[in-house]
Amino acid sequence: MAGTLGDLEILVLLALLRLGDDGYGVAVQREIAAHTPRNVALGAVYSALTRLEEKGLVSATIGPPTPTRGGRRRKLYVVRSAGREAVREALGALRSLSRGLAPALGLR
Amino acid sequence: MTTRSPIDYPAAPRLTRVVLALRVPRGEREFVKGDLAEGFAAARAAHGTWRARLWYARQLVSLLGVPWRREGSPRQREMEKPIHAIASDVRFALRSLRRAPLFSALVVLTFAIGIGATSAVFSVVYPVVLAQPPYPRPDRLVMIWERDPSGDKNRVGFLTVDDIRRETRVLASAAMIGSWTPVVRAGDDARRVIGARVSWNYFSTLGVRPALGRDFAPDDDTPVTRQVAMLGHRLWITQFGGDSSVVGTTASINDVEYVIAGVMPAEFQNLLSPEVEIWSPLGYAPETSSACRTCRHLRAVARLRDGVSLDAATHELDGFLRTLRERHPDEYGSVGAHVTPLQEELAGDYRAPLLGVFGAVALLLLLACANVANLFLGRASERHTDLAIRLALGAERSRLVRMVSLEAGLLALIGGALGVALAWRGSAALVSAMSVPAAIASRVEMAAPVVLCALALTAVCAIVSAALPAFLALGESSLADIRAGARGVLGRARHRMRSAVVIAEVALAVLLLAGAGLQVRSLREALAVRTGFDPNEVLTMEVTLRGQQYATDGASRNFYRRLIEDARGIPGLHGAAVVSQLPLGGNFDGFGVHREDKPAENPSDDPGAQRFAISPAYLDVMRIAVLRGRGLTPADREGAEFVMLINRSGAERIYGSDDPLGKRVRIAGNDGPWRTIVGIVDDVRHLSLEGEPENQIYIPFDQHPWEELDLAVVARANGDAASLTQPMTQLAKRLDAGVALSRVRPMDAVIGEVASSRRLALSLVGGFAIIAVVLALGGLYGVMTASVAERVREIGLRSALGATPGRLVQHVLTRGLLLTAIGIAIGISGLIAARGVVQRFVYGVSAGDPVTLASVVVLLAVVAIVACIVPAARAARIDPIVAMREC
Repeated sequence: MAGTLGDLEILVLLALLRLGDDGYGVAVQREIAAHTPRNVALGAVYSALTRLEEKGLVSATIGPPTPTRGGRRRKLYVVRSAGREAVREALGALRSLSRGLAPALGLR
Repeated sequence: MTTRSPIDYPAAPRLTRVVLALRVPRGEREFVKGDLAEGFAAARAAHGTWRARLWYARQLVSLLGVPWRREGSPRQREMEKPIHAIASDVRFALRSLRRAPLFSALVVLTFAIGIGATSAVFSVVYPVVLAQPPYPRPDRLVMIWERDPSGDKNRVGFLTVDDIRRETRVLASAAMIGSWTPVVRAGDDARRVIGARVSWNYFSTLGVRPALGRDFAPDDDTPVTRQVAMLGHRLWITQFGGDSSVVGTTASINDVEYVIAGVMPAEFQNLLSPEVEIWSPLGYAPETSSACRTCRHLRAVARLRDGVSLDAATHELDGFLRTLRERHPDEYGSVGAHVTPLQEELAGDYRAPLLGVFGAVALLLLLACANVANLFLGRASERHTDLAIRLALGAERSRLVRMVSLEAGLLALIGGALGVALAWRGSAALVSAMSVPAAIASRVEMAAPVVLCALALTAVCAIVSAALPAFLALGESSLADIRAGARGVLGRARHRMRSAVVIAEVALAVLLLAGAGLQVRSLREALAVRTGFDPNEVLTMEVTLRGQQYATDGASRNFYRRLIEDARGIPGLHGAAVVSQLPLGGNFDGFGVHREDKPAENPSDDPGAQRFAISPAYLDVMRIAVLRGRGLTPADREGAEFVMLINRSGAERIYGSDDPLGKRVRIAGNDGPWRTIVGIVDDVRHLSLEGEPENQIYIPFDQHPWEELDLAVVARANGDAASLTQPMTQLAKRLDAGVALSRVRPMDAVIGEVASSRRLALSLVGGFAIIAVVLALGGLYGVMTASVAERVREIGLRSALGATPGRLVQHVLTRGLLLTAIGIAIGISGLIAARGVVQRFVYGVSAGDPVTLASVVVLLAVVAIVACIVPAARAARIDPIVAMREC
């Protein structure tokens, strides 16, 4: 287990899982913006992706050139199994920690 | 540079470029730019341009804080690490060189020849000419010579050095060296070895100590106590079995018991007389007869006192010798002293030829560099478009420079390594071919300075010849080149440079060829010189007699008389005789010649001559011509009238217009008998094949003032001289089983040996010259071919406008010959400017010898035509239509 994940890293991993084969910098940013109230800057996304790659939780491949990007290629990230495991653990920790706190948090 | 499209940096292009350049690794830039463009487009579609710009700026700022891994892909990441980047550049350079095998091989070969030849010659030059002798504080060691009336160095008498030691203050110590050729007996085996009689402080002056036993002490160095010996390491091993218990025991040397004081270490190099294997104290006292001031047979080596400069020492000793001349006017013809550093002294005869060869090889290296530069310029031409495209695709200029210089560096490195390997073998060949004496040869090795020299050469070669063209090529490469096809217009600077290189090559080739030509003529002159005798079919044999049986008067004379008598019985032997010193044997006895009819005021100012004691048949056996008067006969014996012969040059120099026949002279001291000159004989080359013949006189060995124990026998055969070797040695051994024989060999072999150093210089310089011609040929060919290839359109145009093939050939040839002519002119001016230096290395021919120069010019002109003919023919074959369409 490559240490604990920061919350941005969890968000990025989840976004990548949602994006499937089409996860890259700006797409991750958009995905997070669409599903959370957070407006994450590209630099933060790149930082998170870099850290995740260093921890071996995601892997990068180079995609084909894209006309909408001025013919540039994308750097595509996919979540590796260690990444899924890390997300499971993090979510599990959240779940078990928050169990029974619904009234305290004013949920429901 | 890359072309830019509007989508590149949708907003704040300058800021974007700065941020990307500063903060985003190269490998990531494409993806980041893509994300920015995509995000900007999406933001503009959703919120309009202004909001999009705000978004864009925020993203840019956020990029500043990203802790990037170095590169995107693992491979790129690897390459980004400096060491891997270099490794990958090396791999790339190797790949690109493999694709140009002919080019690479040519460059490596050229480097190898240039660096190898230079290192080989340097490996010999360094220890012999440049290195300090291997003694402590070698710069303080000097040799002291008397200056004779002609200004030359002369040996010194014991009393002179004794006075210098007592009365001057500039020397810490001074030692003397005399010759000694003892017969060392071990059991039945008697071996004649070369030794030296030295002052007791000889070793301490040099600063060396024996490995075993003790050094000589002052008490050993008296006429009574001098039977003490120091063994050289080699003699100790060969004759005494390396037994350390011999120290302190006695050995029979010249049939006298000597106490062995010690053994010198194996690494001790007795550079002053490298063959010496045994030392014994000189044992002179002021009253010893051979210690006199005019007994100039000793060499003096001294150590300067600390703080005394060479100039100061020279000044004081020079002045002191003048004082001595005032004190003893009859005994000093000389007027001063020569004080020379030991290091200079040791280089001696080899200095000039070696430096000459070194000069030639340096020229060769320059030429090799020029040729490599030429090759690289040619390659730069070919790669011009390639480099331009790489630049256009975004390759960084620095990276390309690194890549191209790496190619040059790699080739230089491989060439240099090959060169050092060549030098390793080459220096051994050089030493053996030049018949460098063993002791000097033993100093020749691939010492650190030599290897450093090779490394420095490699680096300089790489920079000068390869990297410069690389920079030039890159400086010129630009996008415009791709469009222009890089033909004609842009190549002008490069073309000028190639022409300059070719001119330089031709000029260097002129120097080397002229050097070789002059060497050929020198050798011919030297070999054509009349030796004054006929060396063919003559066997020489040096004989050493030792032992009590020769202590009685006439005993050794009787031995030699019987030897030449009995030799007549040997079948195939035409005649035999003895002589005190063989021609070209390397030694002579010099004596003053004092005329009876015109005595000089100071006998020391009288001319000297080489004096030979001979048996009557000597002139006949050696076929030395009697020009006037008569030769010697058996009647010229002890008790008869004292007679002598003189050589032609000696007669002319000593007697001038007077007729020497019938005149009487005294040789050596004032107490000798008057001898009548009965004949004038031809000059004999005694010391060397070159230079003026010396004064020579011959006396009958029966009338020699003292008996010589050591003489040389010459025997003429009817046919092969070597066939006499066995019968002559057997005869000598039969007469005295204990006789020591040496240098038993045919006389013509001796001549060949004497000419060998010049022959070697010739073959080296000749070899360099051949390489030079080949390099110049290649250079000229390369330039002309490239020039024709670059001017296809122009030539096609000329052809279309009606130029005949003949005119086109002429056009190309003229250009090639013009370059050659300029090169020849520069080369010959250089040669004439350096005439003084060149003259020192040639003999019997002027450095500006017109025949040699004319041959060089003709040869190079022919070479130039050969080099230009193929490109010229190619130019003539250019089809105007094809040429115009291609461009």
